Formats: sequence, structure tokens, C-alpha cells
Amino acid sequence: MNARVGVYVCECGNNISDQVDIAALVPMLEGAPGVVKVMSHRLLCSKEGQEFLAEEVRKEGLTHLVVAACSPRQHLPTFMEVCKRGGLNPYLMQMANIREQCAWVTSDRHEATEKAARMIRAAIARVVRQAPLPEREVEANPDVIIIGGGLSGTVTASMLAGPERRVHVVDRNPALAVALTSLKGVETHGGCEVEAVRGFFGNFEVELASKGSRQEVRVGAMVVCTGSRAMTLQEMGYPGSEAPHVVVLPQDPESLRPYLDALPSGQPKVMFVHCAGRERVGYCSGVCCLRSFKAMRWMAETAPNAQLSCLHQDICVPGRDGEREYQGILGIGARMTWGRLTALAQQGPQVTVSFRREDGSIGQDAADLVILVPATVPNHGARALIDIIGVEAGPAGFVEEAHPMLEPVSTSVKGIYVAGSASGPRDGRATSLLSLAAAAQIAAELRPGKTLRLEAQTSQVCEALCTGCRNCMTVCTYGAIEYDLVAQTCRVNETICRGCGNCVAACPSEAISVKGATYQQILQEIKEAVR
Amino acid sequence: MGEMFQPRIVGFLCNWCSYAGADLAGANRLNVPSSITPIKVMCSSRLDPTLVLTALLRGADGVLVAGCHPGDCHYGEGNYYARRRLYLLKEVLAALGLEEDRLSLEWISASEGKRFADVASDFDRRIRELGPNPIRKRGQT
Repeated sequence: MNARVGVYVCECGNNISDQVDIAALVPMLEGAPGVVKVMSHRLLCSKEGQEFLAEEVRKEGLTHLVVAACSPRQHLPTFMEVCKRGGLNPYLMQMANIREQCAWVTSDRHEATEKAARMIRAAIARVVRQAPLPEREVEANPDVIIIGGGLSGTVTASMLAGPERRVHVVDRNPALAVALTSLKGVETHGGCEVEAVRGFFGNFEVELASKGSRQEVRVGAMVVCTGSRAMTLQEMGYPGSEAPHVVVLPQDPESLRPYLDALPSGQPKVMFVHCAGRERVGYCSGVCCLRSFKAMRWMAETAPNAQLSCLHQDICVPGRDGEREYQGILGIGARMTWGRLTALAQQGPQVTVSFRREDGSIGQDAADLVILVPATVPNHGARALIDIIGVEAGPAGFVEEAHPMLEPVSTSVKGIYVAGSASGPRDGRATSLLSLAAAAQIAAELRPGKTLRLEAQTSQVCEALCTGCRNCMTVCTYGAIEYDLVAQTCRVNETICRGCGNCVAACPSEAISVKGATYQQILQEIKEAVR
Repeated sequence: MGEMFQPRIVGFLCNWCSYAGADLAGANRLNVPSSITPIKVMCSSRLDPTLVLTALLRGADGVLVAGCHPGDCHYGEGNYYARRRLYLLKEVLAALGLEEDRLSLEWISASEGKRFADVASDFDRRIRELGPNPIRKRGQT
């Protein structure tokens, strides 16, 4: 079948026509191989423009379409829809970005027109070598596995579990909270760890192991809710921290009671030391000042005769309640000192605390009880889990979000989400918010009974050319290429492939190509670009 | 040379960072030399060195490859592969009688419109200094 290419040049109001001489451009494109019609239009993305274009596709019996307009980043989906309305496979349309990358960056009108012609001819040469691609979909399992049964795991599970969606919660701790075990539609796996993960968004197979037994769970998505923990004295590494009257602030201040009971009578001195371990981890955890102040207030009520002091660096108490807590601490007469902890030493019944002041000088103080307010670090086992499931981690070992603002609960692996303090130190409020966000995103992206749309422009291996060297498998980030032991060739799992094309460049036999960006297509574009 | 040398430069831009950066240069109405014709690839790692070589053998006076900054690749580490392959290719260019400066690999993020315009202008100037592709000059395209 002969190609019938239609080329439509959008003036974009005056955005393009101000710099590109449309009247001169149109004849430059006529006669290009396969082109049956070249036309300009005031505004192709307008409702009227879209209808016009869809009608042109039908009326002219176009086999391929070139839209010379704005960036595909702006209107590719728009014009793909237009193709569908006109009865054309949307992949048989190519956009030439003559607005952002031509009209708007070229001051000379003649040069802009010449460049636009080159770009459009390249688009024509590329699109005529394009095969129609099917829109691919895959059945998806709506079930979800949540790793970690703490606050974030519980909130996420309670939002997602329902008659149409089963939720599995795995925790290495054998005893899971009643809040979880009593939830309908939730299956808990206490005392279990994730051993291996296979598959992809919509169809994961997760292998769980507990003492002596193994089981496999099939789910569509995973949520990492492994949380965080306090840094230990050993990890902080302050000299003298093994002193008996030095303790790390526990999650619940009530656990401090035995230490209070052991305090001498009279007016014992209790010192809270903030930012313990901060320099070693390299970040401010942001949640500890407030926790410390709440513990100090508890202590002022529980042991009213204790003299409270606080060795601190920056006071970090953002949010609605932070300032009130801070003022409350000043109100109960806690003595505030600026300093960075350098060393501790038990001297008789008291602990000597050495610290560096802002001006670099060394200060000392003594207390009957020193409470170190610890940095927050990723939970035990998080590192191993991150390696098993293959998500990216930041330098501190927390799971890295796909984007801190736009995708705060997605990870580098599609279908694996992160919630709560697995991605960084969080207070309870932020933990809940992120967990709700993860649940909402999964509810929107993995709907029971709905299929998932897959990347259409994937790689494919020509078995006749493949020598089975497996170079492609080495470079593929997604593990999308499998080796067929019988045929001794490689094969792309198109459900996983994201179409980057790295394997194409790695293949020494030219056996792999990416649909939509074949060697021929790019070569033709190059030819037009250098013409 | 009778008339002024007008270089032909192929700019391979990765879809996620550099192409978006080039769009931003447009949105900010910065000046980008018209000698550069952009070709969008999904990832800089798609660039088989033979494609770059083909561009030069077909007469391109320069080839600019732009990808995401190290660590920012949309596909994880594609740009590292691109870097390895293209540095190796540079070694080969001399054997073909081509100056290695005719190939440039740059990192440009989606927010670096200004950087894209600067990189493009610098590269255009360098290519003008180098003069036409010797292969083209010899009429072997």
C-alpha cells in the first residue's frame, strides 16, 4: 500500500507564524516522499482544529499524519486522540516541534523557516517507516502486599482492604497489632520476611519466608512500610556513652520511669541532649525536638523536683503545635544551652557532658541523668529489603521517592510504593498522610476489574539475528529480557519493557529494535537533518 | 569557500531531560542556533554509536548528544551507558580523519533551558571554528 501522508502546519495563533514564514514553508514540503497534502491551520489544538484534523484524516484517506506544531510534551496525547477519532492508529502520527524548538528560539525568520522545513521533513521520513502499534493491556491483580505492620502499614491496609481487594501485611515481628489482625480483608503474615520478588506492576509474585516455611503471595502492588527507628548509642559513637546514667530517649517517656526512680533525692539534674547522632547521619531528622519537649513536659509533671536542662543545636519545631511546645518548655524553667555533644563521662554519681559551642570553645556540664535525643534512621532490615525488591535508596538508606513533590509515595519501580517513615524521618501525622496518599494512589492506579495500559513502543528481539550473547540482559535496568534456554536466544518481556532502547545499542548483532525508534527511522531523520 | 559556512548539527535529545530542557529554552525565548536540528530519543542510551557515526559520515558537521544528569536518568542508568559508548567512539573518530570535538556529550536537565541554549551556542561556535566536516568537503557523503 502506498503511503498517503498528510502534513498539517499549525500557526499556533501567531506563536509559530510570527517567526516561520508559513506561506514559504508549505511549498517546501510538497513533493516530499509520500506526501499527498500539506496545509496550514490557525490553531490545530482548538476544538474546531481537532475536528478539522480528524475529518481530514478520514476524507483524504491518510495512512500517516505529521502535525507540525508545539512540543509533543504539550499536545501528543491530544493529537493521538484525534487520530483515533479519524480512524488512524495513533502511532502513525508524528509531531514536529516547530514552536518550542524552532520558532521560539530562532530570531532570523528565514533561518526559522528553513529549520522548520528540515524538522518536518525528518518527521515525514520517520513516520512513513512507522508500523501501527496496538494499545496493549494486561490483566491486573488488585491485591496488595504491605511490608511492615506499624502505623503506616496499618493505615494503608485499613484504607485498601475491601471486598474486592485482599491486603497482605508482612512483618518480621510475629505479634502484629490487633488493629491489623482484626481488619476484614487483611491477611497478616507475622514473623515473615520477603525473600524474593518476581514480576511487575499488576502481577507480582512475592516469596515470603518464616522459620522453616515458605509461601508465595500474588499481588498487583507492594507498599514499603518498614518505618524507621532511633539510632543506637553504639551507632552514635560518642566517647563515654556506655556510662550507666546515659540513656536514649525512648518512644514512650513512661519507659524512663526506672531511671527517674533511681535519681538521687533533692534536686537531681536531668539533661536532654538534642541532635545525638546528627553529624554521623548527615541530616536533621526534624521530628525529635518536639518529641524531646513532650518528654520534658512529662518529666516536669512526673518528677517535679528535677532540674531540667537541654543541650541543643537548631530548634526544629515546625507546624501548628511546635512553637507552643517550645514556649511551654521555656515556661517550666528548662535551661537551654547551645552546643554540639562531643563526649560523655561518668564521674562518680554524675555524667559530665562535653560540648562544643558555636564559637568553637569547649563547654562542660554535669547531670544525674543524660537523655540523648536520637537521630532517626531506617529500620533494621530495610537495606536488605531494598536490595531484594530493587527500589532505589538515598544516601541515608531510606527508600527514595520517585519525585519528592509530584510522586512522594512512588518509588523507582512501577507498582512498588512507599509510605510513612520508610522514605525519611516522619512524625505520626506525616506518616498517616503519606499512608493515605499511597492507598489513594493504589486505589486509582490498580482498580479491581480494570486492566493496565502498557508501553506500546517496546523493544523486540529478532530471533534469527540473536546470537544469545545476553549483552542486552546485562544492560537492562528492568530485567525485561529473558533468555530462552531451548532456542538459545533472548526475548523481551513486553509487559516489563519501558522502551528506553539501551539494549538496542548494546546488541552487537543488531537483533534488537525499539518499535517507533528503529535504526531506519532515526537514520532517515539524520539524513533530513543534514540535508 | 565562497559563501559563509552554515553548519549542520544533529542534536540527539533524550525525551525526559534534555528535550524538556530544549522546550524550556523555547518557552523562555532564548536563542538557539538554527544549525542544530533536534532528534528526540527516549534515552541517550538508545544511541548506538553507529547512529552517531552515521550522522557524521552522512555529512553532519557536529553531533550533540544530551542526556539527563548522572544519577537522574529516567531509566536509572542509561546515561552512564551513553557516556561509556560515546567516549569510546571519540577514540575512533580520529582514525576516520574526524576531529573528536565534532562529537559532544552534555547533561541537560528539564529545568535547564538556559543551559541548553548555552551548550547549543557553544557547540555551534566550536563547529564553526572547526569548519565543515572534512568528509562532506571531500564530497564523500
